[in-house]
Amino acid sequence: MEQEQKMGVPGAIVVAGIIIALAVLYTGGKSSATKQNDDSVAKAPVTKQTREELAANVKPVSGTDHIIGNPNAPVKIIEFSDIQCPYCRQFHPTMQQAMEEYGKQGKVAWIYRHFPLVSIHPLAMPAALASECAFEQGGNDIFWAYINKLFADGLTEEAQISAAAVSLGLDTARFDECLRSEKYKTKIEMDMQNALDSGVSGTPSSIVLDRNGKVVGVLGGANPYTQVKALIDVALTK
Amino acid sequence: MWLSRNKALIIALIVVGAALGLRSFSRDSIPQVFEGKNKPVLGTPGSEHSHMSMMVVMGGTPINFYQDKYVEKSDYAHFHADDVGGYFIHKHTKGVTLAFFFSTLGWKVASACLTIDTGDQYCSDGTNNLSVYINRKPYPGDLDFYELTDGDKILIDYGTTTPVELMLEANGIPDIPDDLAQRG
Repeated sequence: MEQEQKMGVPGAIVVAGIIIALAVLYTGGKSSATKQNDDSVAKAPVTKQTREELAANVKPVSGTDHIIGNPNAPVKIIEFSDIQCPYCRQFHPTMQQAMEEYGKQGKVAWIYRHFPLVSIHPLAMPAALASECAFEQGGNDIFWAYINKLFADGLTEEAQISAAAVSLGLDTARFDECLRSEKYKTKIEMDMQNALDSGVSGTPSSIVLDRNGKVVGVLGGANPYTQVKALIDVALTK
Repeated sequence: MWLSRNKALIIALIVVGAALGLRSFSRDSIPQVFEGKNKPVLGTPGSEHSHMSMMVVMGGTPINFYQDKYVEKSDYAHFHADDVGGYFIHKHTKGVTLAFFFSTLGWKVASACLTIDTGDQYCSDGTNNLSVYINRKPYPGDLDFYELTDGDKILIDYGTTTPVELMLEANGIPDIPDDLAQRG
């Protein structure tokens, strides 16, 4: 019995040693993982920016913008939106509520910029073009009335685009011609490109600026009014 | 009696050691797919601690890496178990390339094809495209040689995704939280 035990210990060590050796041989061992070779690895030579840093690329508010409220308001909210997008439709009354509370006091200006998601919303680009055609005829008041109408109704059919123009008393022949010409497509695409450069990842996306034009925050999606209000209040303290 | 107790202890220690050794070697060795010049030049685990944010979208649907099969699979670089979004890569070793990191997940990337752990293969075919964006720019290079760097935002997309949609996805990759380094 004692002899068996004496033989057993070295035997177990040998067996364990074989197992470990096989494991090392099989895997190549950690040392091979750290072995150097002559190839250098590539690294991305591009600038890394946070979403807030990207938001600072947003084009400054100018006279070509569609603004509602005091253009010199201490807080400006630049919204990138899509008239056929359901979340934009949901967010539109939230922004109207903000303008009701802050806009009337001259504290907030709302700037609408286009981001029609053409791959999923086939009516979004025609609607964006149409809103610019409405602006051409009636200025900002008609622009806002036009998009308010489509957001309120919910855009599901192409016929609504012309019907909204009719309901606002626009010259339909001129409106239709403007729409067909797609003369404002470049303007809309410039809005889209600026949105992408500003880190927008979906619609609606709203960049909140303080009185110095600095980004205070970005509201992505159809945020509830409490969150919009909280960010406005922060921006007003800047 | 003395021999019997010690024999048992020694054998137990050896078995545990062998098991740990096997696990460590099998988990951290470079897979056979890396041979010759595409073999990454890896440091030792612990030689770096940096973070990247990654999103992989297949046919419009993001893959959630917050799954047991993807979490903490390698000491070289891994997703953490507390990252419920499954976005953040913790790189603990110099030299970890994107292709090597994928290999730790059981994935393989080669010549416009991505094969995931299920064996499903996604190749650019003229209709669907495999796109790689790093830090919001298309990355046309070989992923075998792209070393993950601190703060990288990586997008892998397969499908009929338009350039605008790709940029929206790239913009949607989350920022790396300031406190991520404290999470190990």
